[in-house]
Amino acid sequence: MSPEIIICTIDQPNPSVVPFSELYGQKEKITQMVFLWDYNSYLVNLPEKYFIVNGGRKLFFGDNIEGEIRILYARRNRMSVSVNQDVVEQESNSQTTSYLLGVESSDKQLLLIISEDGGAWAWKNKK
Amino acid sequence: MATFELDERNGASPGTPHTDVANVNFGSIDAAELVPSSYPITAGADAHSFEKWLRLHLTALGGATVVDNIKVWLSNLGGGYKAGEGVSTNARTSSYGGAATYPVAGPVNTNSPIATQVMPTSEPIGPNIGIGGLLSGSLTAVGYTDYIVLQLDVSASTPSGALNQKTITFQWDEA
Repeated sequence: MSPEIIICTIDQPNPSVVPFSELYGQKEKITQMVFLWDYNSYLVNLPEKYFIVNGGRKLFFGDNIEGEIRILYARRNRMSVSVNQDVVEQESNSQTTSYLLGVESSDKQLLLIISEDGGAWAWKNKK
Repeated sequence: MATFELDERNGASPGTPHTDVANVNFGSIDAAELVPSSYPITAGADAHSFEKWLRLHLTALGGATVVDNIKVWLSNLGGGYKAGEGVSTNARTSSYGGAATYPVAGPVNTNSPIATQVMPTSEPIGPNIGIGGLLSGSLTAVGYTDYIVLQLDVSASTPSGALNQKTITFQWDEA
């Protein structure tokens, strides 16, 4: 079961449940985020603990985002170049960007990847 | 957001750098952005294009503090390889062995001693091109990845004419 996600945004300060697919469009406006997941409705409150994931490695661990108005993400960017075609058709700008965000509590870690094309999530028990 | 361009180097060492190349066209000469129809590769046993010595050049961090996890793969074969066609590379996710050194005599069109791996056609599970000789390497200022060496391979059974256009995708993470 995918996590339920409750967010507050710059435009909508009251918390509301949003589908996973809407996170990408709201990413620049999210001020708070709460995840509820597993059958025991385990709660992780983003303002308490979050980290930025880069290439699968945890880069930054934040205990308190009070005062921050935006959630920080690691970005994953792609650039594509054509091969063996004499018509110049370079796409030098990043074609797609996805965002990686990790959340952890005392015994679990949750990883979210969101992009224009959709997203994925996974969790694991901490050792 | 970090900004990258794709650069190519040609000719005998130190070679001539070409920045922000528009394509990766393989052919029978050592040149960037060549016109494939003007420099066809002759089909034959163990025949090859000239190697392509490429690097991703980070030209601006754009607010990021670190860039890493470089991946390269063929994301679109455009209908598939022709008979006997393939692309070789030095990109690999394990036993990386450090950065490739630009050859003294320049790129070759014999069987590349550097591009010995099969070019992946799906996103690798981890970085397959290093920075500073390490797959775990990172850029915290403008600079280059390790060389990405590619070579088009054909055989005696490869039909004459244009090959299917393909797409190479480069991917990186930034934070």
